[in-house]
Amino acid sequence: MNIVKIESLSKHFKILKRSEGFIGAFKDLFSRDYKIIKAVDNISFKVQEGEIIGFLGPNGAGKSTTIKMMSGVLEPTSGSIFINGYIPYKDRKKYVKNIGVVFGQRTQLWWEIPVIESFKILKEIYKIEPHIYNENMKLFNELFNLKALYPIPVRKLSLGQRMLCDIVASFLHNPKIIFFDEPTIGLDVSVKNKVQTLIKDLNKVKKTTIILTSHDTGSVEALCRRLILIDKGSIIYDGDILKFNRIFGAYRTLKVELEQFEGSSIEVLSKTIGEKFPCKLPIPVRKDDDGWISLTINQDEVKLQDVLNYIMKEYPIKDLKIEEIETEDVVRKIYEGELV
Amino acid sequence: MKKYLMIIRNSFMSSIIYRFHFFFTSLSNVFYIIIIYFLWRAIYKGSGGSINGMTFNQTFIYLALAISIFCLFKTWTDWGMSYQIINGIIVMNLIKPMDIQLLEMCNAIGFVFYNFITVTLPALFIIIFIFQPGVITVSNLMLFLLPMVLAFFISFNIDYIIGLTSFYTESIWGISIAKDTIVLLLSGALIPINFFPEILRKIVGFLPFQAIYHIPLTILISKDMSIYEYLKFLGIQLSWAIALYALNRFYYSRAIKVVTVNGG
Repeated sequence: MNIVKIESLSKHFKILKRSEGFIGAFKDLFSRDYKIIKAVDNISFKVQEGEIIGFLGPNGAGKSTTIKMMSGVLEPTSGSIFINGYIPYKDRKKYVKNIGVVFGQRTQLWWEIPVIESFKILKEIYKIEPHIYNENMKLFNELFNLKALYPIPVRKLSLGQRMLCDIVASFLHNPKIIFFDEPTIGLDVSVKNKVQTLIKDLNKVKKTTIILTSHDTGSVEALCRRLILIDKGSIIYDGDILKFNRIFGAYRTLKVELEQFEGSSIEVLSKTIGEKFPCKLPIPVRKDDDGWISLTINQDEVKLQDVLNYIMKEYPIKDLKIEEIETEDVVRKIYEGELV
Repeated sequence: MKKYLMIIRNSFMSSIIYRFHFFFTSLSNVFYIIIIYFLWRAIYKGSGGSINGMTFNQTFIYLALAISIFCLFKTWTDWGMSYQIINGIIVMNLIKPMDIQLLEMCNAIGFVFYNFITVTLPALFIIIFIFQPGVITVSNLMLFLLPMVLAFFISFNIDYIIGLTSFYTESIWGISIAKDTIVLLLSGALIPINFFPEILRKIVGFLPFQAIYHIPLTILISKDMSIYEYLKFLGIQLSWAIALYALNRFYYSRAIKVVTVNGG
C-alpha cells in the first residue's frame, strides 16, 4: 500500500533581490524587486509502507523543502500531496500525531530541561498510552542503553548524544512515518554508524516508513534500498540503490597536489590523460580553488593505480588523497547521461 | 488538556534555571517603585490632598501596581515568536500536534508564574508593608482576581498579534518597542487615565489597552463600586478578549500560509 502519494508538487519562494553595499541596504528598505525561486519544481513519487527511502542531493537541491511540505509545515505552491490519509498542511494538527520528524540541525527536545523530562512532555503531547510508553522506553534502553543520558539537560549533551536522543524521541509515539532531514550532519564516523544502526534497527522492529535526506552518498547507501536523487528542485533519478551503486560505486576521485604546476598546463595534463587512458567519456581533470587537481575515475574502465603511476612519473607529487565520488559529481554524471 | 499543563510547567521550570536573571528582575522593579513613590510625593506636596479625584495613596498604589502588572505580563511572546521565525525553530512547534496560539499562551502562563514570584510578590510586599497605603481591602482583592485573568488574556493576545506579524516581517524589534510604549501610555500604566485630557480619555476608552491596567486597578482601589459598574467593566474586558482572540484565529490562518522556515 502506498503511504505517500505526491504528484507534480512545487514550492516557489518569493525573495527580495538584495542590493550590495551600504547604500544598497537602504535602497532595499523600499525595494519591491522580487524574484521567484523554484525550490521544488514539479516532483512526483510514491512510497510503500515500511520502506526506507533516501533523498540524495547537493546542498540547496530542495530536499529539506520537500520534507517540510511532507511534514505539513509548508503549504505547496501547486500539486497534490497525500500522506497516511491526510493532506498534511490542511489537517496539520491531526496529521502530525502519526508522524515523526527529526531535523539534524535542530532539536525537538526542550533545551533547558533533562532528557527524560522532554520524553515525559512528548508522552503528554502525543497522548501516548502508559504501556506503549513503557514498552518503547524499555526497547530503546535494550537497544542503545541511553539511560545514562536521561538526567542530563539537553543543552549539555554532545551533538551525537543529542542526535541519538532526538531519533529515539521521534519513535516514541509509534508513528506510521518518520522524516529524517540530514540525521548524520556534523557527526563523526563512529557516531554516524551508531545513528545509522539505530534507524535501521528501529525500522526493522517497528516497520515504520522512513524517508531521509542526506547530501552524502555513504549514509544513504548504508540505509536505503531505494534512492531518489534530486537537484535544482527536480527528481533526476528514482530507483534501486543497487543499480545506482553498480554505476557509481566504482568511481573514485583522485586528488593530487603537484609541485611547480602552472595553471596553463592543466589543459596539457587533461589532454595527455585523455589520450593515454581512453574511456567512454574522457576523464574529467579539474583544478580546484585550493590548488588541488582532481580526477574522477571509473575503475571499471581504468585502473586508478595506472593513472596515479603516470602522473607520478611526469610530475613531482607533493600530496595525494583518494575519495569516494561526491554527490555533485554524481549529479553531473547523470546529466551527462550515465544512468540512462 | 494535560499536554498544555505540561507546557506551562515546563515553561516555568525553564525560566527559573537562570538564577541571576531571577534576582535582577526582582531588584529592578523594586527600584522603579521607590522612584515613583518619591516622584509623586513631590507632585502631591503642593496640591493639598487630591489631584483629579485621586489621593496620593490611590495614585501611588495605582502606578506601583500598574508597573508590577506590566512586569507580570511581560512574557516576551512576540520576541519569542520572532526569534523562532528568524532561526527557523518554529518548525519544531509546527510538527507537533498542538495549537500554536494555545501553546504560546501556555508558555506565557508559565512565565507569568515566574514573574509573579520574582516581581509581583516582592513588589506587593514592599507596597503593603513599607509604604503602608492602606486602601486595599480583602473584598477588593477578591473582585480584582477575575479582571486580572481577563487582563492577562487581552495582554497576551496583543503580544500574539505582534508575534504573528513576524511571520511576514521576521524581525519585530521596532514594532514591539512601539507596542510596549503605546500600551504603557494608553493603558494608564505610566500616568493614571484620570490625569489624561478629556479627548484623550475618550479615545482611550475605545481601545483595548485600558482593559489591561486601568480596569483591574480601578476595581482594586475603588472604595465603593456598584455591582452594575463592576459588571460593566467585566463586560468591556470580555468583549475585548473575545474580539482579539477571534482576530488572532483569523490572522493565524492567513499568516501560516506565508510562513518560511529559515535554515536547513
